[in-house]
Amino acid sequence: MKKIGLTILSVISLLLTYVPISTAQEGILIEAESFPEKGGWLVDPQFVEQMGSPYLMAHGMGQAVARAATEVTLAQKGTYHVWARTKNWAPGDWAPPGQFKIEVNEKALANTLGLKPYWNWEYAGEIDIQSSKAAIELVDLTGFNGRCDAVYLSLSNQAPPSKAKALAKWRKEMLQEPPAPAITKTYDLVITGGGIAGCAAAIAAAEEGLQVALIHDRPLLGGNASSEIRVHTLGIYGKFERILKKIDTEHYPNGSSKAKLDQQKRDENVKSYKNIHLFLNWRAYDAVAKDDLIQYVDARQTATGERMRFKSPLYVDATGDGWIGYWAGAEYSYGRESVYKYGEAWDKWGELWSPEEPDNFVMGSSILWQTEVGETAFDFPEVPWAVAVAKEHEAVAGEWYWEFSRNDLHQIEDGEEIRDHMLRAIFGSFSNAKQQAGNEKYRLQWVSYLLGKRESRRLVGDYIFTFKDVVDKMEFSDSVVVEKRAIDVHYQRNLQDEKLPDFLSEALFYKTGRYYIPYRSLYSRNINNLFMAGRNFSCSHIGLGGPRVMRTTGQMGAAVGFAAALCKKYEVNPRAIYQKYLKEYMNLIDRQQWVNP
Amino acid sequence: MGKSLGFLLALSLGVIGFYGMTTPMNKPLFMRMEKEWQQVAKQQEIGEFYNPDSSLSHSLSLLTNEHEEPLLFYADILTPVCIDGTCKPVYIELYWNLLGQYVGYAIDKTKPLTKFDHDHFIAADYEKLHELLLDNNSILSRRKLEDLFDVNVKPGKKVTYKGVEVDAVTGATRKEIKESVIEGALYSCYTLWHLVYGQVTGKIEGYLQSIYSAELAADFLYSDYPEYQFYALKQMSSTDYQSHLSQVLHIIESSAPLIRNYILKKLPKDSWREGDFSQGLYALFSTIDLNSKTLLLQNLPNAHPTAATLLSQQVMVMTKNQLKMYLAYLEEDADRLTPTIRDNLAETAKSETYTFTYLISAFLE
Repeated sequence: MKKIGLTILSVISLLLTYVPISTAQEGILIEAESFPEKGGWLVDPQFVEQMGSPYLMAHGMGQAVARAATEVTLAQKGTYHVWARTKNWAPGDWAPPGQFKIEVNEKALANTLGLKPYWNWEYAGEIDIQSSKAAIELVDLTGFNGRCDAVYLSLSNQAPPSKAKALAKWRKEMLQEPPAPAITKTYDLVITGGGIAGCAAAIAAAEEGLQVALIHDRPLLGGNASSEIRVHTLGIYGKFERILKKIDTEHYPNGSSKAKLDQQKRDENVKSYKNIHLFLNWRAYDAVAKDDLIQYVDARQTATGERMRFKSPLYVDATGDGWIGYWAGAEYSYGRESVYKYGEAWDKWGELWSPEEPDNFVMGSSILWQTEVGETAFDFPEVPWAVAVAKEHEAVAGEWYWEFSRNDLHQIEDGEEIRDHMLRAIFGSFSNAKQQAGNEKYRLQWVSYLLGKRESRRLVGDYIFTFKDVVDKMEFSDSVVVEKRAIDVHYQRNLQDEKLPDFLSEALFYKTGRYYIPYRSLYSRNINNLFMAGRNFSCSHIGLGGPRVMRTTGQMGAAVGFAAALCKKYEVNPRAIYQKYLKEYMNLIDRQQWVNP
Repeated sequence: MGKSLGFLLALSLGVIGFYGMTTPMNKPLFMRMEKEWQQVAKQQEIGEFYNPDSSLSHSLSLLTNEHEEPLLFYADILTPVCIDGTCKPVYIELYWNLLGQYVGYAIDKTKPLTKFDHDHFIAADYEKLHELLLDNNSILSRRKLEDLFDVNVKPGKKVTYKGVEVDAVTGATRKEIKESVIEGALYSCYTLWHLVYGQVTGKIEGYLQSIYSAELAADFLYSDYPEYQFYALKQMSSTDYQSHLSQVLHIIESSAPLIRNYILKKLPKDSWREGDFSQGLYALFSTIDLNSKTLLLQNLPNAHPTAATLLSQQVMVMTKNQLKMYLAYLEEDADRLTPTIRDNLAETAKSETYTFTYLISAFLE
């Protein structure tokens, strides 16, 4: 089935199911992610909010990937000018790492692409097309993460707009998108984010009979635990062992390919619930609230561009980045609070733990990777653009501490730069290691291209969970999550010694007994029908240090799913469960530990 | 059991025997504060600290110079290391700085440290022990001893702990532990690390607070040790910062990013405006770490007006976001874009090596 992201104006693509046509213009815009044949190129939807669209990326770990291809039918013959929206993702005094070319009807256009240091339309060249059809191919030249957002063909030599606002407006005009998605679906509960928290919420709510929509922007469930990112799940099960065992992981080393087995288990288990309506590869892009109540969440299919509206009385933000709350106007925090704000000092570590003055220097994001030793020697290309980041560092394996944060970078807004920095760190360190005798047979087996984030926005609930709750071992009447894992907060190693690589972190572990998280940290203070579960729950920076691991976030999800069931039963919003139905809710939670697996 | 008790009794007597000594016995094998150690003239017992592993208390001493100015903390340790009921004594003299941070150790050459197979430590082992003890965030801090042994490893060696082979460590942490401990001496490493970072550190911190004076604060601030400088900076008021700006600038220039960041976040607004200081500070922009650069840019509105001009000559070391911050600052008030700054930016915009010239060009347009 061909995809919607293809737009024709005065020229017609017969391949499309949805083809807005305008005779007023002379161009055809083809969203790269909608190419029906993607070859070795991957759809990357991680940075839509910053650069405007999902894009295709040639993540070949140094081996050029197979071509991506599409075909369009043209209404008019003539000489077409062709542009690609792309960027040089590691600019500097070297050849750009992610180069590619465009071929039209098997003819390569003149210019190599991926050269400018920012997202922009690069001119690929012109081509005389005398047929009614044009076969368009993206030809990767380097295997190092060349990227293409869109291709534009025009009889005019006028390039499309580049600036973000003008481009977004132009895109909408080209796509002739109506203001609202054409399709609206209604459920009892809409959960956005299919990480461990979102999956647990979906299962819990589904078991209580709710019709649940689970919207997730990847093909695989699990988020950081998925086989695409491969962080193992840590923490305890609390009262939700039965549910969490359906979706968690074994304790294999981070990055292990064993993640694939747990992936299969998780996907099968979640899909086994008939009343969980899964929307994989759908990324939410808006949530609108009226009178402090979310009215709907809008999402877009990451490859086709198709849109859908999701309505329900209750919503769960399990996006990790708190997007639903952010769009809906929920209060949120970001950054490290002053140590004095909530009394979160640990004198032994001082500023590394919690600073006197607040800042935005949060824990970083990771990219995990794995190598293998092959039968024969394997050459790895020279990567000067990567060595510039890796410097002298050598490595043939990654781990959790391959992590990047810097105080001028925002873990959401600068996510692409952070991911790219980690790719450079990995390729550079591996390249350095390959220069050493004995490493000839090492080859990269897998490098994730998805950021494993630790910390970003934290939505504010009726209760803000902090380090003090851990130290004081606070028990609450609404304790729904229990954990005993150490509070584990990271800092960048180069803070103590600037000669060390900027992409390695160190962890500080505060050992503790059991501590508890109240239900009141799992719904928004000011958006009355919004739950949150996962790392975007209501907590301080240090409060997040312990419960950010995924069995704990899974507990949050399950607790929220059961609360949603009671909300439906009494037709109330999340806060009322604490105020009026707490006993029944806590009984429901308590019962979970006695249900046999 | 009886054997252990007997050992403890002998050990206790041994410990008592050390009391009354005036200065440390042996020259340290490793010592980070050699200059201070050379000046030691007196030893003053200030209390005891408890070691839960051995159930023993050890005497803690302050070492001073002849004027009784504090230099180091010191403990002469005799502790048992026990595996499966067999205990061996470890003799070691430990040193901490005035903040309670480990700085070195000494041994009696007639009582060398040994491994479990009774081999003596070799030179590299002693060095590795020093490195381990310097690591205040060692993996040993967050693992129980029994967690360090891999229960799946088939017994093959003679020495076991609770029936499990010594020095076989679990897969996930094997590399980290292997790198930090001495092969064949895991338990000694574990015991000594926990001794160095145990109750003693709190005792020293408490004692330091009791003797911390204006004189000592000045010594710390002007010392060559970053950790002393940092301690002093943390105790300082806004007025103190203002009175010591030249030394504060020196510390910013010479210290690690962590300390720089702390100062740049804590500096009172008045200090930022002080001409010479501000000039000295922003002249460092090109050479200091990226996180400190960001803090300098964030404080531009507080800084002396010359700071923006100084930065206009150093744009090429800015990251994309830093450049955006700088340009946003200039954009906020038309007066800030002086002819000099404009010229400097225009010159940078011509650069063929700086990645973000396109942002400058767009700004100048």
